[in-house]
Amino acid sequence: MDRRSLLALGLGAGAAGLAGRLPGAHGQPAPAGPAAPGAGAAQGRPFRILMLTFRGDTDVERGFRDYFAANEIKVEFLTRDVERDASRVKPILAEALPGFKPDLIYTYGTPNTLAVAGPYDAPPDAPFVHDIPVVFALVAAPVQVKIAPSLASSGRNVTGAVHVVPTDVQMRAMQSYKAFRKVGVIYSPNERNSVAIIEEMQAFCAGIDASVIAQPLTMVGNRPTGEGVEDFVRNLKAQGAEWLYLPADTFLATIFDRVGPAALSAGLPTFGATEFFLREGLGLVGLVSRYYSVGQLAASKAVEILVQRVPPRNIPIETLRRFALIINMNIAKQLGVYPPIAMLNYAEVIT
Amino acid sequence: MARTTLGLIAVFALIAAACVAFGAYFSYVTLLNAHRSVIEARFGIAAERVADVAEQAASLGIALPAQGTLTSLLDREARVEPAIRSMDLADERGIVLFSSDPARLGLAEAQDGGRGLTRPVRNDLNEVIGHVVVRYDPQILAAGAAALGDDLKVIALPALIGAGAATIVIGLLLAALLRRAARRAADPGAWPPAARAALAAAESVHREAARGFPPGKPTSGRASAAGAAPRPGESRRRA
Amino acid sequence: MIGLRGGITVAIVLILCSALAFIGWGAEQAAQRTIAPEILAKANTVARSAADLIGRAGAVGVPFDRLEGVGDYFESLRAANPEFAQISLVSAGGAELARAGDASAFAAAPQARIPVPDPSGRRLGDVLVLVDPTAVTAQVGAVLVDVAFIGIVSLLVALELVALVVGSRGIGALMAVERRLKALGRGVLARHEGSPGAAGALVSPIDRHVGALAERHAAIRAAAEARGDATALSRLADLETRTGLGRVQAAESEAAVAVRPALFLFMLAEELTRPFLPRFAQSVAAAGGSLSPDLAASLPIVAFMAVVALCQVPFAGLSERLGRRRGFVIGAMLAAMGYALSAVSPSYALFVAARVGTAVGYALVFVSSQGHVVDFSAGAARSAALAVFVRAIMVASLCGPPIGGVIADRLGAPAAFTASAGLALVALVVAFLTLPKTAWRAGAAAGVGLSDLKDAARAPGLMALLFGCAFPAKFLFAALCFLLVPLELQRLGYSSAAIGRFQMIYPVIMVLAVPFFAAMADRFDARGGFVVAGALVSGLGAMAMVLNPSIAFIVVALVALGYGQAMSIASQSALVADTAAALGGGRAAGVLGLFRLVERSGNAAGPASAGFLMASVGFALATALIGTVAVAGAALFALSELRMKQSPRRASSAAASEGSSA
Repeated sequence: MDRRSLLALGLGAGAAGLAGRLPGAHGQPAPAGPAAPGAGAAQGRPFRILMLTFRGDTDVERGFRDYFAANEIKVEFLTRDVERDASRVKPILAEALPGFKPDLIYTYGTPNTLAVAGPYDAPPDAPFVHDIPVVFALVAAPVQVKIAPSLASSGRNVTGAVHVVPTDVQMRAMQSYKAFRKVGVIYSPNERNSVAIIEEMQAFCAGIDASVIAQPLTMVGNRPTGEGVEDFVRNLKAQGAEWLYLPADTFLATIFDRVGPAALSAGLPTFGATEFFLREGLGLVGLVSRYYSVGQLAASKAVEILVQRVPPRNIPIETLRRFALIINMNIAKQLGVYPPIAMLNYAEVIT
Repeated sequence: MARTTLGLIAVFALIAAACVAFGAYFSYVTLLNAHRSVIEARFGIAAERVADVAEQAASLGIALPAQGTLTSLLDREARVEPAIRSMDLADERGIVLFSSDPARLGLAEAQDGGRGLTRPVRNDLNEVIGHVVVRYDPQILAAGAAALGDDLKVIALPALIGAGAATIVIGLLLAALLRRAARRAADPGAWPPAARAALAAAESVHREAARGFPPGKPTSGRASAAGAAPRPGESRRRA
Repeated sequence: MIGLRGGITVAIVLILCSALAFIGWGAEQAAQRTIAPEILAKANTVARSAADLIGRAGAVGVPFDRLEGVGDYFESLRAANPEFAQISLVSAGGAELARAGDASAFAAAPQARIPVPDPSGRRLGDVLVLVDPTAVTAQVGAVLVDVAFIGIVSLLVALELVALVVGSRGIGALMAVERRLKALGRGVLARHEGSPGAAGALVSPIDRHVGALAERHAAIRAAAEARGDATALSRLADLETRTGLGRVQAAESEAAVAVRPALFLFMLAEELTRPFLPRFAQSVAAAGGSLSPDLAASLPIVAFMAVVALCQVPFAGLSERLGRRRGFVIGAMLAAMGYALSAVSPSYALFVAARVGTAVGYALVFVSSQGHVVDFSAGAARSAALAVFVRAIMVASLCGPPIGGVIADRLGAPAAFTASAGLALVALVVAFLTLPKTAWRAGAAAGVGLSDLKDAARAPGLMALLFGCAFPAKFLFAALCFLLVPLELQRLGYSSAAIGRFQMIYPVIMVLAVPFFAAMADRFDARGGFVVAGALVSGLGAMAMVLNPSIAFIVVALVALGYGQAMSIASQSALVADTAAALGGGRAAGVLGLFRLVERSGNAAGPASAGFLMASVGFALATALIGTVAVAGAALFALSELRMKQSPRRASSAAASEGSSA
């Protein structure tokens, strides 16, 4: 793998640097981020942000709050947790909005965001928040769930941070670890998001002269089941798949503890799109968004709205610029598939 | 005349020497810059390594000020290269958060005037959140500069003197040639061939004209115009 | 016989070339001695960092004999550090486990060897980096190219200084001797004007002989006239034309080019600021402003160019009224104050104001110098005189940036600004001493009004020249040199130093070729032809880019641009000056002002349009299209010239121009 493809992965600062290029030894310090330091200096009273969490405080909220602190912007936070039940959003809003009068509402995850802002095609008189800007974090597919008609603009008082890593970036990382001609993938055929990912995989693989073996999960009615998933894994290996890719598929995530061991015993390396799979599901390697950074990205959008007074409709919904590569070394040892050493420059290794 | 000539030659010798000195000095500066960029490429490698670690930690949500383990890393990296004086991690405003040199904590790295080389530390949003700053021993540059200076002095001094002397010699030669030519020109017999031919033609025409030509043999229609003042264009005609 | 001046020039060139070549050789030796060890030190660092990484792989559990991607990793290191011939990983037993590159061709390549330890500290093997000795030489070679360029710069500065001395009055006596000897060498027996000064003793025998001949000649002619001897008179007249006998040869007029040293020094002052101005502007702005860095860097430059362009027209009349010398002196004074203020400027606004002040002074000096050259040259010699003017500017633009860069680098930008201020003052003094004193002509030209511009625009053939040639020439030049070529070279991966060397092609060719083509144009009296040919050459050079957008064709385009502009630039100015002289009065100033205004708007429009074109149609097509503009303009001008040839107005205007400047 050359340096350029590393850079294209969006995580290659390390490799480029180790190579020690001559020019630019006196690089000018670039201005620090969108929010100039001390942007809050001219601000009168602190901004008020209502934070609606889904399962208590996570790294996302930590990153969100730290961003304001690092840029010295005074903010008063009011945090309310829905305890994994989005139906609690309505009463929380009814209680918090009149007294707290937030300048902005932060929402974690798709259910909370939809409960606050509703779908973009809801009738104008539907009981959703319209006049307060909403910034979401950790929504995987805002277009598919109708939070926004396109990533470029929600067309309304909403913007936010997406946490999925683009499929082609994941494919390139997978290829960098170990080049392949055939990749297997297991998915839930009823999840539009997963189907879209399969199409993106096929487009990418066509470009590098490789093929995708897509294996849908068994359906009972219109719900997927985990039936025979171990056989699917073994079949993929038998058909010559060199990797098993596990997309950010909601149902698949519930059966990681069956897929991972099956792949391991079949000797099939796995590449996962979520951190959880790597830590708990015996996955080999994955490229993931750090929750902390996703929180920071959401906060940077909040700062644009509050400090720079940019309307949310003019702020695109984005994912991170750089992602974390995580390698589970125990699995690598068991499979005998070791990462190329250049990857150790920027990978986080679980041992 | 002699004084003018000598003064002129001296001025030319000075110009030649000055230009050689100028060329030598600028060559020296060019070499110095090349030398520095090779050295800094080397230290840049160490700075990159620290920046990488800081970036990975930042993406795990460990804010720069909280990355306490960086001190030992900076220390280790700085010790590998004896020429590195200190290695700092500064936040985006340039305040030193960690350093291999404990005395530098809290300083604004830009304010110490020391020349250092920097590598940015970026977060996952691709924003610059800090810098790794390597300050290296100016002695290593100074030593190179001194060596280069000595080398070039050995070359430049003779070149300078030689150029000056050669200018004086050639100047004197040119002056002598000019003087000799002028002396020779005092005697029409020693004039250059073209001048001698012109003189001979003048002599013969004058002789004949003084005797008088037989009438009725006009040689050209322009005769009546003869004797007019020289036309301005003629006297200014270029060689 | 090449003459005294030629002799001095050739001697200085030869002496300096050998001395500088000697220094170049010394620089090469010094570079080998200092840079080579540093490259080895870098090899050590890279080896250590690679060994570290391999050690880390071991620490996380990758067995030493199962390392993956080591060869690829080494290749990537080599790609970033071309001075390494080979990077290998060898086991403790001596077996080569991975390798990138091949240094077997180099017998004794310097090498760095760093052990790879396992977590317990046991040595597993070594990382071996072998330095390519030829790459060291190449790196030293790149340094030498810079050194050679510095040699050219010092040579050019030396020649300007020689010209300054040779043009001074102190050398008058020598030139008197020289002039007489040259005349004799050509068989000219004319008498010489002016006192020989200190050379009296040397030249008086010659003058006596020539004087005696002339007296005899006059006496014989008087006698022939008295006799009415037509034959004798015609023979005598013949003799006069052949040998110059009985005539008086005027001292060669150097007045037109007397402005060269002062102008060179002044232009050098401005060129010094070029390399560091953008960054300095940014640093001033950063101190307490909210401007974006890009805007902060470009605002002073844009303001400067705009002021210089806008002042061309009004200053044409002003400098005529003030007198050229006074105009130059006042302009240089203004500019010097501007530089001094730039050096100490505490705020960005004040800095921009200082630059604007400098621009006003710069425009006044430029206009006055140009006016001086036009005032003191006429007819056939005008292209040559204007070529000297162009050359002084080009040499300054070659020499200034590297000198200014080094001063700013070593002593800081304020010191470089101070140097500029000093140079401007020196130029002021030189101008005061060398330019002829001119009277205050309060009523002569009461400024240039809009009506003058309108009249000027109606001058025969002028608009075709301005918009067919002057504008496209600068348009092409600025688009190619300032934007298209640098951006394309950057895309191709050239360093900024290398790009700078490519950008030198144009001025170097200009400096060398402008005087030659100007003399040719004067000799064949074919200025229009040279203007058209130049535009065609430069335009076609750029158009050739569509054939194959490669580095070779970029060089072709730059060389064609250099030669094309060299062919046309002095002739263009001379044609404009002729038209101006034909009109006379305020309108003459208007014509020159209009010319520079149009020319300079080409400078501004070029990069802007090129940027737009490059974004929409790509480099090659953008370059070709801009070349087409130049070719089309030339065709337009050529057509209008042909039409003019048939109208009688041209003859009268030419005659008027000859008469107005005797």
